[in-house]
Amino acid sequence: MIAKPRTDVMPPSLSVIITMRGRVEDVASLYRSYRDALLSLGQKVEFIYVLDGPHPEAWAELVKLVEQGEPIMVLDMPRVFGEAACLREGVKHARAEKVLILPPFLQVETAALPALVQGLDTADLVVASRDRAADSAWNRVRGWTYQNVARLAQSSYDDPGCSVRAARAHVFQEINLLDGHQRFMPLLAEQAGFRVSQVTVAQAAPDRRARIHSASEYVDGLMDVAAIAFVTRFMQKPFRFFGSIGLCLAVAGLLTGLVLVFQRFAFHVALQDRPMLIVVVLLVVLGIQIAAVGLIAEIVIFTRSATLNYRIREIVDQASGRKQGRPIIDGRSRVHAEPE
Amino acid sequence: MTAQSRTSGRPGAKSEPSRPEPARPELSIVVPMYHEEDNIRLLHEAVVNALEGEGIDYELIIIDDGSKDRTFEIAREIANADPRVCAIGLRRNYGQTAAMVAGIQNARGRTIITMDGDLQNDPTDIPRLLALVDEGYDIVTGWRKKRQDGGARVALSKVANAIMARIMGVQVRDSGCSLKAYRAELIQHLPLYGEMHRFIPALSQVAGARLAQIEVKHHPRRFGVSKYGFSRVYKVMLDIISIRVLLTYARRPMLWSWSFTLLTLVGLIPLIILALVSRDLPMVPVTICLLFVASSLFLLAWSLVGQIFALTERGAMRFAEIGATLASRVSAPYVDPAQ
Repeated sequence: MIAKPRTDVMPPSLSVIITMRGRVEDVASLYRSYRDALLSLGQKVEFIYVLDGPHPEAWAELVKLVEQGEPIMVLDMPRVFGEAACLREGVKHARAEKVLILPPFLQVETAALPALVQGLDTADLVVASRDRAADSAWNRVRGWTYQNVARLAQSSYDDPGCSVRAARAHVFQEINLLDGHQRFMPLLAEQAGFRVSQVTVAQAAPDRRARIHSASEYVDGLMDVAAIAFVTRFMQKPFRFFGSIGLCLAVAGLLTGLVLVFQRFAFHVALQDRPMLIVVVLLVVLGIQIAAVGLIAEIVIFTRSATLNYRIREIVDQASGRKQGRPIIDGRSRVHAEPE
Repeated sequence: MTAQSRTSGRPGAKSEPSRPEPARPELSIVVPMYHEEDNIRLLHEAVVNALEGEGIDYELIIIDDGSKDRTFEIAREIANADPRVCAIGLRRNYGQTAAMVAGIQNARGRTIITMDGDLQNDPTDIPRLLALVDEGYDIVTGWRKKRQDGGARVALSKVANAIMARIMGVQVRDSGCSLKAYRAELIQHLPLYGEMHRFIPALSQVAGARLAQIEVKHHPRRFGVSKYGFSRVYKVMLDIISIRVLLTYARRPMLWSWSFTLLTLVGLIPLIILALVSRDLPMVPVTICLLFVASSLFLLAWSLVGQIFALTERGAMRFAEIGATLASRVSAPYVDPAQ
């Protein structure tokens, strides 16, 4: 179900996307805080609320705001699809070239939002990092741990848990945002060759309260880090990852086997009834299987190599007589004009 | 890639006023560069001097692979001053293969020559490579007989070449030499990703390309540092295994895992013998045999999965199509004498 705002003649300059899931604060007052903070930009702003699954109270409040003439569009997803899916749908409906992603609760001081949007003058994606000086000790420990775990995925950002981000809309067209990966959007954008910057902002007072998440959320976070670490490092050469693990296992198995054979001949230890022999064979077999998984991954990349290579920032070529050079052919879309 | 497809825009994009497509040059020289601000002008000069008076219509494509120094600024200045030069700047550092592919896909020449941007290759060799392509070869690789690198690196390179020749069945003396010439219709259609540029001759062989090798000059590096380290040897070894499998896969998608499968099926033979000769089967040998059998079944399953990819992504398996369209393989059109 979609509730649409009144039709504007002029398209907005900024689309704010808010995914309603998990912690949801008072919808109307939060909307007014965000709206008032963005007034200083002097730009026309539209708000897109994406309700991830049934949120009847939020829907009713938002419809009321729409009826009052507020520039709000509401997307009511039929069931829970996750934050990344909601973001993707929100961006599809965004009419502005600049997009501001905000959480459905106060995570940062709203006064910092205009600076984030202004950061898009020199970057394609601007991520906020909360100044945790006044945060609770538990939250700081959680944040520090997550920041350091995310370094396994080569993330150099201080606050991957902060959902406040500003981006140019075309960034979303070029990165494949899977569910759970929205926290690593800066990393994925970097991989696609976009300019990413980080702005430290004041943390909102309600966000400083100590929060306990379920164990499954921590496990999901860890799995996401592992997936992103693999994708960013080995997407183009998966056999180097699987082959190395397979080789280590097989070599470990063979070396252990050699020790057993040595013991058999040097000390006459019977080979046949030793469970260690099973371990040796298991290691070799496992090594071969993991290497085979890597080869299958190579086959996947090999058969789809045309879509995965590189992105061009600029091309200078007088010969073709075009202003911006010849048609740009790159690994994603075979021929396109570079957005400026 | 046809000229038509290269000028058609993205769906929905505003169409440009129709402009005649510029004449296609005879030769495109593709040079990927990374942190080569000291070398780039010298390279341009060297190419211009080498081809002056040869009567070759060429374009020089310089690809900056996300350098943080002034490489792209200088490339842009050169491209603005010399209409034969095209400068391409990648958004970040993607690696040599991706940079090379960016140049190859944007090249317009009928023949494409690739070379390093560190001035170790000598552009005066280009006409000799080009002559061999004119003779009918589809790929001509350079061989740095008097290589100006450290002894250990040269020795390792020789070992790697020998292993590649043995495993892949392609006798390339110097696969690490970037100075190579390709027929455009061959190289522009080969699937290249990761760090596959070293294995282009092997991939070309699958398409039935005719390969020639020629001794080329090699100079010591004048500026900058080499981007290659010995850790690369291990990575190249893993790459060789994966490319070997891919080459088999490209020919026969089911075949790639059969050697492994047969190897692990060996476990079945002692199991049968044990079952025939002994009433009380010993636990450890039986478990080992069963592990081998299970492994072979898994490998068989993987090869079936590979078959699915071959069927759903038919575009990647068109080596025969590439081979059939190579100019050297297509005869002159048949003329009916009766007409």
